[in-house]
Amino acid sequence: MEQIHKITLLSDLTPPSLERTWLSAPHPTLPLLATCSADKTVRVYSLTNFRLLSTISGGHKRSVRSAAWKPNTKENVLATGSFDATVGIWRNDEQEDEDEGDGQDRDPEEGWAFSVLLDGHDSEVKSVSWSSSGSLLATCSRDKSIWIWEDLEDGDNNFETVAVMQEHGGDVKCVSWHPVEECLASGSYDDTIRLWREDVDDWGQVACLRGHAGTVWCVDWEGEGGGSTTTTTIPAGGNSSQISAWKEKHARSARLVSCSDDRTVRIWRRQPKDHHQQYRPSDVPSIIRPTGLEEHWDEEAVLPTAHDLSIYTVAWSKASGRIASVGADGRIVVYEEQFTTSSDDPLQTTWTVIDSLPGAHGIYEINHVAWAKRADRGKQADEEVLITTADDGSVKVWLV
Amino acid sequence: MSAILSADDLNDFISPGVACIKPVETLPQKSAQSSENPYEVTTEDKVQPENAPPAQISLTDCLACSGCVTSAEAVLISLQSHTEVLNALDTYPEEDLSHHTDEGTSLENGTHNGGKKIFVASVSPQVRSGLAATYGISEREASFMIDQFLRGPQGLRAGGKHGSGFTWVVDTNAIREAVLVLSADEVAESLNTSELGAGDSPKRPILSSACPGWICYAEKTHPFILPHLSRLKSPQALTGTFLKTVLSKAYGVSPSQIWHLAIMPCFDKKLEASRAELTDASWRGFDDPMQHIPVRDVDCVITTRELLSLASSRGIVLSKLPLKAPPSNFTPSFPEKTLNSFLFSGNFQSRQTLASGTSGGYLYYVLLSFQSRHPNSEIVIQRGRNADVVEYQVVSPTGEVLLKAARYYGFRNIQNLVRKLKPARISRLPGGRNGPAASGASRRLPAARAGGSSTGSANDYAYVEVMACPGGCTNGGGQIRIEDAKQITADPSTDTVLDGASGETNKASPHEQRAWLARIDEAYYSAESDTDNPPGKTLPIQDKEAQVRQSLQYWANYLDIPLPKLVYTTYREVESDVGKPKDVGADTARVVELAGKIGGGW
Amino acid sequence: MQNSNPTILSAADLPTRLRTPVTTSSVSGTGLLSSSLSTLVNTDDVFSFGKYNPDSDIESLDELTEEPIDEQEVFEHPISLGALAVVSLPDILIEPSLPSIPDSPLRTVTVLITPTISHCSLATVIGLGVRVRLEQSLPSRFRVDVRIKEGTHSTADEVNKQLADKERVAAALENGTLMGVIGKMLETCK
Repeated sequence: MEQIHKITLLSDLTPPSLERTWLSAPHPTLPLLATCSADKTVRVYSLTNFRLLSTISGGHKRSVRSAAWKPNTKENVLATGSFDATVGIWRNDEQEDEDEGDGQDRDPEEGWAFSVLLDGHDSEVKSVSWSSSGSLLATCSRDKSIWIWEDLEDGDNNFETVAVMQEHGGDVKCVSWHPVEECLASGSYDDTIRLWREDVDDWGQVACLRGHAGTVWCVDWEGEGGGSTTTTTIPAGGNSSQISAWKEKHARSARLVSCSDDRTVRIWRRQPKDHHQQYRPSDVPSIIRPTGLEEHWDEEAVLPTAHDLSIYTVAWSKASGRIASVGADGRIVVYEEQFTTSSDDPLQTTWTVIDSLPGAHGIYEINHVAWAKRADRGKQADEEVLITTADDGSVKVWLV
Repeated sequence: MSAILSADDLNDFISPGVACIKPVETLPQKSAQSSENPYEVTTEDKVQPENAPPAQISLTDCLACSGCVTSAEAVLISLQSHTEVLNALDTYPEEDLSHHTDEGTSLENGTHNGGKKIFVASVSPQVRSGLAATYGISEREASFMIDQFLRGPQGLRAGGKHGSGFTWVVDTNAIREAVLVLSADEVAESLNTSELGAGDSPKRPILSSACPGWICYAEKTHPFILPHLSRLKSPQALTGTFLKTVLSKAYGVSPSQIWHLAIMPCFDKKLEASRAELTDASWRGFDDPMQHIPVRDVDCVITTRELLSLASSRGIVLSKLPLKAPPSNFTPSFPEKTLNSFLFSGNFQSRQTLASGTSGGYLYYVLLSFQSRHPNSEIVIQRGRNADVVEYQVVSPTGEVLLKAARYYGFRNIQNLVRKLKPARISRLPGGRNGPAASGASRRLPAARAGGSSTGSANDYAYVEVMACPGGCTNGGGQIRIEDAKQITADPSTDTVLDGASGETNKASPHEQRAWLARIDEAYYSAESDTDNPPGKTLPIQDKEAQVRQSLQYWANYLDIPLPKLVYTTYREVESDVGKPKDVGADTARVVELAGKIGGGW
Repeated sequence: MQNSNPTILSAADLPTRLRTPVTTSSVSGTGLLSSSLSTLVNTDDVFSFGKYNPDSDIESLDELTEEPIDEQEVFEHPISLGALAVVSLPDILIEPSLPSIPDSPLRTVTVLITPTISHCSLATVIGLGVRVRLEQSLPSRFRVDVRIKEGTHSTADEVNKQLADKERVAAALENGTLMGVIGKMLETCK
């Protein structure tokens, strides 16, 4: 009855927090990982030797729920979101010297300095996310609002509130920026996913995705072709004409993945602008005509059921196009997309489960999963790992 | 807490779906309805006043005070509605004032029996603009429409149990004029004192206090703002004080016999009317203060939309009312000739220009007033990061900056203003190190900046006009929406506003909403001063101010009450429980309150 | 839904025109929860790894009775768990959490509570108290699920969603004031 799993444990990160670890955030370029814990600390680990480098503490009065590295910057900057309703900004201009992990007597807080605490949210901050340019930070909270902050980058740690969006009917659990555009996606306790863009001076909702039957815990974007990754992630098993048609369709519309209390993982695709033209009677005065601010999104797929309980995080690999999900049932599930051979539509794809590993952290619920570039000694070129965090505080690194 | 409110009115059973108190968008509706539809409004026949269902409140983008709602506040809002107006009119017969002369002889003591009241209403200019845009009429015609409805023979008087109507309908602009002058005086006074603001003057920068949404937010969330707030009452509040003081004196009646209705563009004004600081307790002296039940200066506030509901519920079609004033002798003159003239002669220039904004124009007036005292100086306007942040400077002919001021509208911008004004944190560096230079090596330690007077720019302002609603008061939460306007345009005689047919599916796009707001703004800016005043006759600003001050002093003398007692108000910090000794009883009460809040409290 | 035993809770400084009728009933000295807790913990012995016995769970909870409301309790602790909610024996259920994995040691304890007032806004706090108490007392492999018994509350779905939200509960546990009051509530359930 022994099942051979494709997902195998590479290492634990040591030493872990002893309390629940909510999330892990791989650095965009360096082999570093930040984890946030209910013990109010953020820990920074090396992904080359899986050891703790620094512990950031004292900034938050309650659990740290979320953290994100600022992209596009020379300095190491972390944003943290806490149950104390504040967002912390931390800077480190020291090089995290990852090879020095063993045996040396390090000051555990070396290099990290608190910059500023952003307050404004009325209740717990659930998620923080930097836009691809690094100039905008989105934060969301149980207070149902999403705030967008601009890092003025004036050397004085000044952040300005750019927008406060309050369309969600319940806690906003997660915010995630599009990998390239300034478009924000959010998932909420109100079972919806909403998309936000700026129009002239005002940020506003451009779409509301309904379909999930429970709290949407997490949303993530598909990677864009171009940018740092040279390969667009293409489904497996296609012939050359399928592949080029796929790339073309792909360039015109973005995809989003979401996971929910309803135990499903769903994929959503934006329809191109000319898709829905609405006819208006001509006697309606022109001042009353609606404009095409709204975007149209379709639910493209529901991934095969693999989880028994709520799914807390879903992550879409920007390198391989695979999707990983984790949740209350303690499973790690990895999915892959393939061209459907039997279909009339050459562009149709199906998602299959590559592997489903139960009890990955024993009896504990898994709160988060993230893809990261493998950085330890055994790595092959451009190999990826999965990093999961659980209720007992443990953080594990997996090969797929 | 006023004694009119008891625990039984408190609806601990507010269903989730209620999100934020500022501003309230819906009237009491049937609890069976899905709370997902905040725009639905029930007709009056569906709602029995005796069994008012739980108040439902939904969110707009005015202020983010989610989770702050208490059941008490929700009830305070739901108790003021168009049904409340009808109840008042039907319960109390109108006092007959027609035989009183201008000197105002006292009414018989017997007026206490039979419960007669003097009904008076005040209307804000944004309400008129909203109606003007909806019905495609001029602002002046909208003014007549409201006047006819509230006061005229074909309006409210045509029906109801007693045929009661409002004796006087006052334009809040009259009192606004006074508030503008007093604001300028307040700023001038603060500029003449030292940096730290000696005496009673608010701390610089002085922040406008006319917006109750802003005030409530500051009191609850950022008490360090309170010393900066202007002490002045808003035009609504001051109009209330004016009406109640003068009428009670002129007719020898208690303020409780005067029923003052204000019609406003938002729901937060209802909260303002309920403030304990805005009652007769603040201007009357009592032999035994404990015995007296405070009487509000403003008894009830309804919004523009609720005005439409009020009309519909009596079967009155507003667009069919004559668009001119009722005959001049239809209702008695306001007592006391000078005060009558102050209130009704409309003897003021139009303050409603693009530069002044749609919220009263306090800032712009302060600038004009200052400029008038510095000949040949210029007002320079610079837009900030969005249309709701504007910086102003008064620059001397030699280029020297004499005064700086700004306008901050909308929650996101208020955040930035508040952050600039926040006192710098005591520099305990939270995190990063266990102590400075612990390791001996030198490292850069950036100072903790949680706001920062280090930026300094906010403290350069002499005055900041702060409004909760982006775009100003014409965009208030109680204004007529484009969806309502469309339906009214399609069929003026139907009870369109009450149908609630405009659900989420019919919701207008942001572009439509912006276009609609622009129409209301246009109506607002095109308002002219009353043509009783010959055009072209504009007094120099300083003369005008002197006139206003004179009138105010006349009023104070008439009442024999010092003017500061009439025009100033105070603010109170909503206390937090941090640092208080653990008191389980108080904690329990707090948790009960928390649990009753929207979304379960935790 | 009318409950014959309404308890109206109001903030102390507000006047009220109603009197609250509270009927007396006999007090059971032991709290429901503590008994069930100790039994559940002991049922560890009943489990051998890999199988569970639902019958023995229910048998061992047999001696528990309904927690009645006591006027004296209400007077002294106006917010006592016993005064506000009733939990009865058939409303506790223990099942495997992951039916698809027969070997899994995870168990879900589902507790159905019945608030005395059908639209009591305190249902979320009561539920939270029950959940906290169970989570603190049970071994990690027990997952706690507290729900409002169907038909006993006007907003049961909303309350249940809130009680089932792990993140919400975790955050609530960090709220000192809330936890203090819940502690007081649970005191009578020794």
